[in-house]
Amino acid sequence: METYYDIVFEGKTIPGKDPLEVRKALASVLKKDAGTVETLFSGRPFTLRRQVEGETAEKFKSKFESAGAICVLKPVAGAVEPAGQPTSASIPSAAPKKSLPATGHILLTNVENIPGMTTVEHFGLVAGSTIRAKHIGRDIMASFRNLVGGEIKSYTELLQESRQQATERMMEQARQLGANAVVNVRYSTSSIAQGAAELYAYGTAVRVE
Amino acid sequence: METLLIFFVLMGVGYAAGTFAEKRHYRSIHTREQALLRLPAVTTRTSHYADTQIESADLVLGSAVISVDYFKQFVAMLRKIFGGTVRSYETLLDRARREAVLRMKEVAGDAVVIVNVRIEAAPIGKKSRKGNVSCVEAVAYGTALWLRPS
Amino acid sequence: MKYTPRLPVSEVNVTPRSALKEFVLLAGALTGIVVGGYLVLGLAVDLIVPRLSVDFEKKLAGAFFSALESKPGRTEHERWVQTLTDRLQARCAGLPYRLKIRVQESPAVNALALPGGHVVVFSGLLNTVASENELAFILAHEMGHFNHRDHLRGAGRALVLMTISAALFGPDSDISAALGHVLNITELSFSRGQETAADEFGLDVLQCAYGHAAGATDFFRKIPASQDPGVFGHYFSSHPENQRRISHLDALIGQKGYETGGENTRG
Repeated sequence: METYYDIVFEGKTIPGKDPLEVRKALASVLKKDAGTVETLFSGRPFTLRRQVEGETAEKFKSKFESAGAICVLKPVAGAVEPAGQPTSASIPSAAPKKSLPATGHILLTNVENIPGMTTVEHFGLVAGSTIRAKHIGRDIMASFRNLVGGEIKSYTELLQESRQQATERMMEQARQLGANAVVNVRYSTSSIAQGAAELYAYGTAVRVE
Repeated sequence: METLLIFFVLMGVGYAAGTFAEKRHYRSIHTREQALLRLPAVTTRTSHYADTQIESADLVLGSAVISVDYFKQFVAMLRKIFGGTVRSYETLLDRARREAVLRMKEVAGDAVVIVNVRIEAAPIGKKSRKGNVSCVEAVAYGTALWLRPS
Repeated sequence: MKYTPRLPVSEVNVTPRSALKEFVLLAGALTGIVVGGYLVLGLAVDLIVPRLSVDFEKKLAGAFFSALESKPGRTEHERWVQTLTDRLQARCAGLPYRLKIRVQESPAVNALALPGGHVVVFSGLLNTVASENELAFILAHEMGHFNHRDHLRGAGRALVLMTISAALFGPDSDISAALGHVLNITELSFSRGQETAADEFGLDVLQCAYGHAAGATDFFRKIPASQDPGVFGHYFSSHPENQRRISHLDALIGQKGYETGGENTRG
């Protein structure tokens, strides 16, 4: 049976390496922007990769080390679950951090907490807003559609994209604060410009375990 | 020919004044956000403080009205032809909402937390023929909690 | 649940784009598209218009100019000018439709060629011309425009552009009004090339009708330097323009060997 590991970064860098260089290298390896990489150095452990099997784990570790970041391979006990789902609380606490979402992934709910998990700390209000317009070709098609009725796909797409982007921005802000979940999310809009879809999503950023 | 000249003058004035006001506003927002960081605003209804700890609770509200300049309106119109994010209005809404939250926090004074914060924004002013509005009003309100002195 | 005060690192809610660059890019793209579209439209109209049948043109004109068609009774001036026109047409200018003359009481010294074979002659013009030959040349010039279907080209392009503008921005928007003004200036007054071609046609008709080309340039020599052009003022675009036309006509007369010494018939 293969062993699976979580690759955890605790903020330690190879001594002698310029911290700025390490951040830059790490940003390009992880394909994240500077803000997100900065939060990795807050002192708390971050799981960079979850449930990677032995050999690949070693490869990742050396890749991160060449960027200048010292990572620890922590073996994951228990059955391997598909990535993206928080593991249930039945996993024995030999794994130091249980049921964390994959790095960068933010859980969203519109109730007061994440059911089944404990809120450890909160960071206050986070919000994402966007305002998007569709190009004029779609507007003309839509006005034709007004004659015959039916779904106006281009506007549905526009609103979906808008909602998506607003939510993404809210999650990005939460990520920058070091949170991994946003609770009590609310959506609202203000019809500020005709022909453009404006959406605002806000909630409380928390860190759950 | 005169109309074209007037148009360019309005655009120039709008751009210069608008950008200056926007930068100054953002600087003010950043400094005040830093200062008021100690007072969290949350959208959850409950706080982790026990009822016995809480001395008083009160509704606090902050609002701001920010207006658009001519340059922003024109660029928004162009953007609606080609599609994409309308950046000129993004800054407007962002500033208005953050300003409203900051004013709400300022009203709360030495409260320990503001719970159940809601933020609304609405267009204000006569809608022009193109359907664009001239200003937006943002309102932020929540319940501020003060703790008993222990 | 403890609170950790932290501020976000970047401005997530604002797209990191420079406002000025965005404006320049979008405005440039829009002007490029508009100019390109205009050129394409011009080409398309130039291709289609010569193929429009005369019947179709009459029908189009009928819709707009029914007022002109149904005027009760005609003044003596009108009848006289009409007779002159008919003579010119019958003998020398082979147009597929009969030109209908209308004389409009107005101090304007001008004549308009409108779709459907309508020619509006202002009374000011009639008062200014001194000889029949002069008037004949002007009428022949208008016939030239009709022959080359110049009036349709300008009107066609203007109509399509106005329709597009109305569809995009609304019929009563600033842009449509501005476009209307621009089109007035550029489209409804004929281009230089069209004017020159009409001049040449007029000259040929004049020679054919009278046997000589006297009176062709009389009218142009009369126009004072400064005159308000008016919307349809293709006679008055500029004094150098008139000078050019005079020289061109004189050159043509020399080239084709027309005589200028013939008698001018008084009208």
